[in-house]
Amino acid sequence: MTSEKDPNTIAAQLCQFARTNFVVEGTNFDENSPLAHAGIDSFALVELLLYCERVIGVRVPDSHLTGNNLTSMATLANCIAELARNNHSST
Amino acid sequence: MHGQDSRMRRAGLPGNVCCAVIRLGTGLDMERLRRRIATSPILDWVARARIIRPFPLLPPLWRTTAIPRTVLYEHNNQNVSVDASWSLPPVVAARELHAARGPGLAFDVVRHADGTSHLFLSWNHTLLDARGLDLLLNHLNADGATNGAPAIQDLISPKQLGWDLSGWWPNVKRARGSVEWLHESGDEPLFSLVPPGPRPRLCRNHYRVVSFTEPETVRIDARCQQLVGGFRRSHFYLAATVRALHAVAVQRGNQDGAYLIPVPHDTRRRGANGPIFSNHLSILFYRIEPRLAGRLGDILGELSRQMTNQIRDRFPESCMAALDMFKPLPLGYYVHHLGKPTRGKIATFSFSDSGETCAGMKELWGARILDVTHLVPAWRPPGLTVVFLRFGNRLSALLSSVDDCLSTAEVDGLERDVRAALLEEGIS
Repeated sequence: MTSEKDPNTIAAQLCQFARTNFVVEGTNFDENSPLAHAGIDSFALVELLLYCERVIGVRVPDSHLTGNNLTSMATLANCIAELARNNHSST
Repeated sequence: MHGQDSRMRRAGLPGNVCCAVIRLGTGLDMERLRRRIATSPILDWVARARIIRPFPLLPPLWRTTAIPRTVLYEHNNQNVSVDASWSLPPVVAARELHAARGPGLAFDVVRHADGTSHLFLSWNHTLLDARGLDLLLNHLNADGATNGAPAIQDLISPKQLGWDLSGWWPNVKRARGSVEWLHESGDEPLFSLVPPGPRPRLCRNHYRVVSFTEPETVRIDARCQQLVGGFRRSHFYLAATVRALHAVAVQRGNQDGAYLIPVPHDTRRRGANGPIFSNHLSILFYRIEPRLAGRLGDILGELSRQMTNQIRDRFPESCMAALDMFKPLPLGYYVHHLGKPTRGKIATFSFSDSGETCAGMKELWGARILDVTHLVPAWRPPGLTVVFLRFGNRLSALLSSVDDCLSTAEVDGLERDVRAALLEEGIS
């Protein structure tokens, strides 16, 4: 699997996944919304990370699950793009 | 849930009935509360609803009676003993809330001479879960919401309103993974708080509330941020509890059994205002080996690994399917599948993190909310239920235990160790 490396594309994919699975219809939610206010609890976070593995092809190690990286979809996408550039693939 | 209620009552426990104890400041507008209850179509449904199972092999259903039952009780100037031992006022403790007879919910408002009040909101777990209660309170507190109130069919799962067995066979297939896992989980020994031998004729439930101040809660959050990045608060609370319970096991000289903990997960979307009724919980099961239970770091690592594996294997969906699969079957099948693999132990303790309770609410019917606690009864087995919740900026933990399973000294030890694990930097 070829890993996606563009943070904007990754952020859009993550937002779409969150809208489909966690966020209530009609809620204002974009790549800069704080994750904690958008229904992203620990359970949802794991679902999101497994989605990254499955679809984007990047495994995010626990050491990267820091407050800074988990501020918003944009910050998480930056972290994933960085890992993709460093060949941190899920396979 | 319905069958569990009957089993608990047979053991002398208060049934599967929870109570939210809400301390209110001055200015409670009782007339506004009475009006909201009288005009809310949702409360009208609650006052008429009861659960029935007309035939043994069909799922239980909600049905309504022609005449609504009383759900609001007012008491004036009572000496309420809501103290450290958390014994409810006798009038509240004695209230029978049978889901089969209805109503499954009651408001007891106790008004004190100084103008403050206590609201004891008791509810049968068959009717709704803790998040449903929050949604119900929000609905009742909102003025002018009656006109735009959601219809009952939007608030309760359609599957609870009518029989639909078309999904039963597919559920059996989906349930297979979680049922097999449960059967395998009992292969190795489990630590149980329940003493061997026959159960006493009557058991008693004891409540201990461990309260944290605002500065303490800030310290706990900072420690949580440091240990688990702030996103796995529940894991941090659970790890602290497992570590504290391990100390009890060590004191009892029983360090061979693993700790099996079912943890419910709310499946509603965040921000959704329904469904209010029925339980919308799936379950993750964690199994912590005793060799890992002495260190927070080891427990947290294990919880993270097991959670990821279970979500990857679609275990929560399988668990939901299993619960739906068992609903139409006689209670004995459910008890057999739950209890047999663990030789009747079922779990080491029940744990839940209710998160923020009364979220976004500062007042109820004109009175400021000063404090909120949920009293959740413990099942036997396993004999201990631990519930964490936050109100405002304060964290609290409820240790709800059955008297023959945990001594007062052991509950003291649990409280001390949970506080230390959450607060003390030196504990890893």
